[in-house]
Amino acid sequence: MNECVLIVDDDKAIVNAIAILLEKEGYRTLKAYNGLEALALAAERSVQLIILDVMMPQLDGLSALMRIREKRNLPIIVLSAKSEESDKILGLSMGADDYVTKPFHPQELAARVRSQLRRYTTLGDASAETRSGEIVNGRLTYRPADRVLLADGEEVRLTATETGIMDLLMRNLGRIFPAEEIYRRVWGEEPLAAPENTVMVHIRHIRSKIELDPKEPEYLKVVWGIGYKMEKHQSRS
Amino acid sequence: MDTKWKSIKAGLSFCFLVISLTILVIFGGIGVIAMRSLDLRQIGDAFLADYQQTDDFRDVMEGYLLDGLEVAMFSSDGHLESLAQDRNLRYEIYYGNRLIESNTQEIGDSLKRRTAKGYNFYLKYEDGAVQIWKDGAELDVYGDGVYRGAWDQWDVPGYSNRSISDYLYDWITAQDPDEIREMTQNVIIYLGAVETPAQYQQWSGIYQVTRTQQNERFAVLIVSVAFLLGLALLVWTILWRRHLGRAWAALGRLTGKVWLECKLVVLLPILWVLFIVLIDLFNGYANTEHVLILWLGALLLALYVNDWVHNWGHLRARSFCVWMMENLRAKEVTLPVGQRLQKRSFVAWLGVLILAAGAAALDFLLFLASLNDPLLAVLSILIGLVGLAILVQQWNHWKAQKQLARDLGKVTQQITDMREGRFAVPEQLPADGDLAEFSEALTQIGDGLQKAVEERIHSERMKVELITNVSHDLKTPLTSILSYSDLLAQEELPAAARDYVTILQEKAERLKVMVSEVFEVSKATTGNLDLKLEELDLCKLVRQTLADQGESIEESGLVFRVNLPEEEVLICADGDRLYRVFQNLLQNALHYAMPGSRVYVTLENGPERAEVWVRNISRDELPQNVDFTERFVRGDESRTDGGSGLGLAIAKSFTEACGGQFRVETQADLFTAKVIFPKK
Repeated sequence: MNECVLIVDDDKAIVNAIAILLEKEGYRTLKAYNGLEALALAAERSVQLIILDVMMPQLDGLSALMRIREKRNLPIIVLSAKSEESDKILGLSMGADDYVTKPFHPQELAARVRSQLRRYTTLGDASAETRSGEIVNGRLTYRPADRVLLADGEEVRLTATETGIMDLLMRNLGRIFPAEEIYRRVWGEEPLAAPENTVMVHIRHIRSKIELDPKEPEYLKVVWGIGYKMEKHQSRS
Repeated sequence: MDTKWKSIKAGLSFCFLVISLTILVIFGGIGVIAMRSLDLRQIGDAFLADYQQTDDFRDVMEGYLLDGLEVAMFSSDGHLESLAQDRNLRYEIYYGNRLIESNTQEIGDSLKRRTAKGYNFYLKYEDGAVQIWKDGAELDVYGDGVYRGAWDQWDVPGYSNRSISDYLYDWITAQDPDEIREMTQNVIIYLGAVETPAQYQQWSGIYQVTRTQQNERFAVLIVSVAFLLGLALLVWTILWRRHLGRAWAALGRLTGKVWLECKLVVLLPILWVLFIVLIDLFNGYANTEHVLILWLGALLLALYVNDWVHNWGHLRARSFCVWMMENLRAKEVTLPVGQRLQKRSFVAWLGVLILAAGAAALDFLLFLASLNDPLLAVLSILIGLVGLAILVQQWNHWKAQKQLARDLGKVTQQITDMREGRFAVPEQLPADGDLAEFSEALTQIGDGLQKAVEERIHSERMKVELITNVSHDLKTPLTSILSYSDLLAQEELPAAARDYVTILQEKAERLKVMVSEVFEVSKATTGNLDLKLEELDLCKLVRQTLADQGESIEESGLVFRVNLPEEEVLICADGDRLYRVFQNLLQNALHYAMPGSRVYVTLENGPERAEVWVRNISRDELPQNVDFTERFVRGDESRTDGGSGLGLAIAKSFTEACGGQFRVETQADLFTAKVIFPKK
């Protein structure tokens, strides 16, 4: 712990609330209320993570984001009331590491901060080296050789079936598998009744272990009407 | 096999009809004609066992008597000599006691004595009267002595009103009656006919009688058989009239394929021929050819009528002219309007040229012919000049048409461009052209359109920004409320304060849900959802949703009866949105169902569409005549737990945005939600 988090939002009340929340978690905090202030603080002080609102006067969040990225590679979580898929994609492609929509659950924000910092400190500032044989997908890393899954650098304890499912999905990032095929490959036999129920139980368990918010999964996703997949995440380099 | 049999029946029934009618018509027709010249008694004669009772036999014997008299009177040679070999007839002709001619050499005088072997019919002429013996008995030849020319009367001399002179007067060129009497005074003729004729020589009158009998018997037999056959076939046709209908229809289809022109060209001669035949008949002149022609004509006309009946709508469809014109028009249509018009005016101009050439040729001929007549020569020159003037005028007309066509082409191109959104400024039409002002008007319309479209886009963008801005303005204070109430909950508080904080958190949470739902529903209804439509398996989706909600379902204590098909049910929709729809329906069922009751989830996979029904018994009484899919409508208005009343509205908007239908039906306490999608 002891990292310093810069919180940027034009609404003072929100900035304060987040600061109190993070300080309770043990982080140090810095506050800024517009983009210019954010840039100044990021340049002058030692900051390990920035929480950045998008809609701000004087210099809006995305422009600030771009300017900061020119110099520093630290994790940035974008905070915004805009919840459209397009806004999220825009934010992430501009260089944000994560995108949280308002209103948010304070605990969820705290979890994401934790996750980002862990990755940053564990894997370092520069782009993570992928050791041969490892499959890296955003927060998750999978080593097929010894069938070990890491989330934010920490090993996740999975049952044999859960490992089997993760093995299949991590090896085929982004590919959609219908429930029958997951059953066939992981259980090794033909499914009798509808396998969705069985598969879903295991997926729920895995989600509770690897997702920041199991109710809003970002990695282990359902493609409705077709099957299940492991979402491919861009690793920022 | 069944349809083949049916086709065979149809074909057979048609053939039967034609054959039967043909037979009946021909035999009937011929019969009618024959009847007029035939005596029924003649047909009866054919069946007489004894040929000697036929009318033919009487004719033959009467003929021989006459021949005999002729020989006796005029010593005309050879007439009866031809019968020399014919043993069917024996004759002896005496003048007084002198035998003039006979063929009875080998039988002595048995003819005179009526004892010739095999001969049972004897006729004797003497003294102007005749005696006839048959089978030994004498026949009563004269009856009451009056000759009426009746069918079974012997046409012989000896009646009170038919003396030998009358008789010979009728049969031989007029002679003086007294002379005749004198000439025949001493003539005695003996004739004898055989009982059973045989063919002794090439021609034999008596044998011919039997032959004729045979032939007529045969003819009658044939005619009867044919007639019966015709009747039988006709009856069969009537029994199979349904098949007949099919045969007619098939024939109609066949004739429908023939070009209209051909049909007309063939029809005219047929009508002409029939007309001629009818005129003949009208004048009382009828024979077998007429019957045949009428029958053939009737058959062909029947084909025409059948064709007309079956192909009434599209007689013109199969026509050479129409085909030609369509082909030409099809080629024309591939050209743009301007060129099409130019082509047409060119064709018209060509026509004028051809006419002009013809007129010029005629005029030239007139000129040549009129070289001797100065007036005509001047006239022809005048005509030529007038023609030339007309030609020049037509030439100018054509040029003007061409220009107009070209301009029209440009204007129509401009219209097409505008329709497709290209508002480029077009080529300026020449100011003196007919269409210049219209092209300008079109350009102005285009400008107006373009502005209107831009305004529309602008206002749509504004609308979207408004929705985003409003929701943003709502979400910002909400974020603070949530964050601070969460912080508050982590503080040490007296019991009452703790309760208050709990309530605050609950309500803030509910507010958050409502804000996002309002946002969703307004996006859906203004059409601002960005949908990702793809092919998915509806059945799988429902199963996945049920699995996803598995925990809630187990905890609810409700019994779920799920009836989903095994096979794939492919539809085109946005998977994420559709999941929300079913999640919403399931949540509703879980919240509002009577505890311990059953929830039925079924998918009906029809040929055209798939329907998913979620049914449950409601815990609370359902209000009647309420549209649950309206925004902010809730089952029990007084309840204040959880729901915002937007869930079903959102579900409906999402379903319809994906191209499906959403319906809620209530029957007493049964609540049914139906999601219907067309199959891919």
